[in-house]
Amino acid sequence: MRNWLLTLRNLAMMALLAVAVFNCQKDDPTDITDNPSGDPLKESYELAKAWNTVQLDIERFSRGYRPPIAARTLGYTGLAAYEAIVNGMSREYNSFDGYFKGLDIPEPNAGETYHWPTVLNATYARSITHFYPTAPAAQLFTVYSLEQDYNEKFRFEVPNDVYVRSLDYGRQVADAVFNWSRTDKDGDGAFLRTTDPSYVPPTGPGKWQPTFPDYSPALLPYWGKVRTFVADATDKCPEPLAYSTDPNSEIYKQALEPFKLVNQIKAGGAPSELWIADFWSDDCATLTFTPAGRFIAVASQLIEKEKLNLGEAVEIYARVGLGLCDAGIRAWHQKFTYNYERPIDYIREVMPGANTWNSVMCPDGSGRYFTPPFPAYPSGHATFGAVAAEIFSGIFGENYQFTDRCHEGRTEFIGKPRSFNSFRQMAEENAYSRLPIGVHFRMDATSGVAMGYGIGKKVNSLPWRK
Amino acid sequence: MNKYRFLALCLVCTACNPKELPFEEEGKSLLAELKQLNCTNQRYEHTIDSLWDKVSTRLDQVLPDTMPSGRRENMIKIRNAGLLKQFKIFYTTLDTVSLNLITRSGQIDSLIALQIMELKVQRETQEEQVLNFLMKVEHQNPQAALQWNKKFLQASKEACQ
Repeated sequence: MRNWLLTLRNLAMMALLAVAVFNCQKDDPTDITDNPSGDPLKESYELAKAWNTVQLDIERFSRGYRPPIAARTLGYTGLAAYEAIVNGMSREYNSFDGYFKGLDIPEPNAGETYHWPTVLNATYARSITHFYPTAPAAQLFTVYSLEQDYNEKFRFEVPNDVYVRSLDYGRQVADAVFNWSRTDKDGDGAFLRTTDPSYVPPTGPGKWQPTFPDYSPALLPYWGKVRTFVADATDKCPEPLAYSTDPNSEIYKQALEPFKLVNQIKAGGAPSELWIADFWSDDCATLTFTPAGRFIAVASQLIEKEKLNLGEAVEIYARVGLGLCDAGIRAWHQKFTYNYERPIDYIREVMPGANTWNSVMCPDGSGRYFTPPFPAYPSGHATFGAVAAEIFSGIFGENYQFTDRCHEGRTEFIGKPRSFNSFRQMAEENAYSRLPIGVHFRMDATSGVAMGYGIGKKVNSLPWRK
Repeated sequence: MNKYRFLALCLVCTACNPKELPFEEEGKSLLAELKQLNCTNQRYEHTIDSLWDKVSTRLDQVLPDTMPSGRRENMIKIRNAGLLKQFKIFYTTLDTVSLNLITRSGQIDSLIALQIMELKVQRETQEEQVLNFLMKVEHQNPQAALQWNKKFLQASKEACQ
């Protein structure tokens, strides 16, 4: 009887021991994912979207990130992200290592496993730190918090050696792309020199000069020299309309459009035109992202709508970034080739009784409105929008219906969402928006759109996929 | 107590006691360093927040109510001296106390931004040390490496006083 009781007690003790031991094993190594590579073609788009959202916030608040500079930066950070994970999806995608002259991307170690989301997280964090050295402290905290949040997640999901290798590789890729960007002396560090005191705009009838009310000097007059990815001298606009003060001339007729639209808006009319003008403006510093960043925000909405995988999302951001970069460079090249004046100066000089006329761009509340400080022809807005539209059409198809909600809920201007039946419709409305806001002629919009479509086609023709 | 019970008790103790993790001294030292770096980061964040909170409060007091509400709200929200200057017409009408406060806050923000970047480098170096440590532990005891990993992650989320 005693022996039997003793055995029973020992069994109970062993059971207790087993329960105690297994209860303490909360960190079972089998928690680690069975697929440690985090295949970009199976992972969700969310990491890429989160970083691009942060990037737009930084672009908005960092000193010196005017539209063409922001566009160039989006090109390089987009390319860095793409190159970071391309080896994880090499069965479908090509790297641009060596394709762009001087671009030398480090190779991952052959036969070793990488966790591609960790690689990408490290690349984004390092790239943004490199490219936005003037970011305010609050934005830096956002960057480091996002990086840390993802790293903490990944450190539990992947084996330690894979995690370490991935982190290191992601940073190497970011450094390589940044170092390559620095070899382009005209573009490197441009946020520190957005104007050039030595630049004297040419004079003569119809030639651009600093405009009312603040007469700011020309923004980036030599930006056309910056290195492009795909665009070249063939990406140009036809000669603008001949300058004339004749009321029967084509330019006079074109000047009547912004003149009349702005007058209607100021008189409380043309609500649809005001909505379009406000919706696409993105000009006023700190109010929103830049007109280039706008199309990264549109890309994010499309990526989310289509629930794309991480690889596809990164590819779209890279394509749009490259396109925006080149759109800015070529638009600025053409602007400072033709030096065409803005509607404000034409209207004030030529139209009877209009010598105090002004746009409706970026009201400061004191009755003052602004005009961008660089020549009109072609429109940068139009070029940015068209390049993005062409890229989106190449990916999602031409007749794609969507609603742009990127300013939904804003109360400082009309950010109510607008819907489109095609990307070209979006691009053309964006280009047209510069007329009712009073800062462009129709020819600026038309030529900018045409040039943007051309650059977009070149971006889509790059050997992205196998 | 017979030898089986003694053995069982020892096993229970070792299974549940985190103090028995290998490389205790090195791990604790790395944990302390991690906490210190995190606290420095939190201190910077707090400094920046209170710095710009003061500016916002001041702007809310001095900006005229006649200013368009959207514009006013935007200007108060901006936590950047250079960008505040872009609200030209209103910026130039601000009183000297407000202007000095904005200028000084901008200078401090730039200095702290530089310190944050420096801290970021230190944190990356420390992270490298932690990861090397985890790999070393993992070679001997993968379970212990996971427990250490958890401790480091907990430490990185701890609030500082």
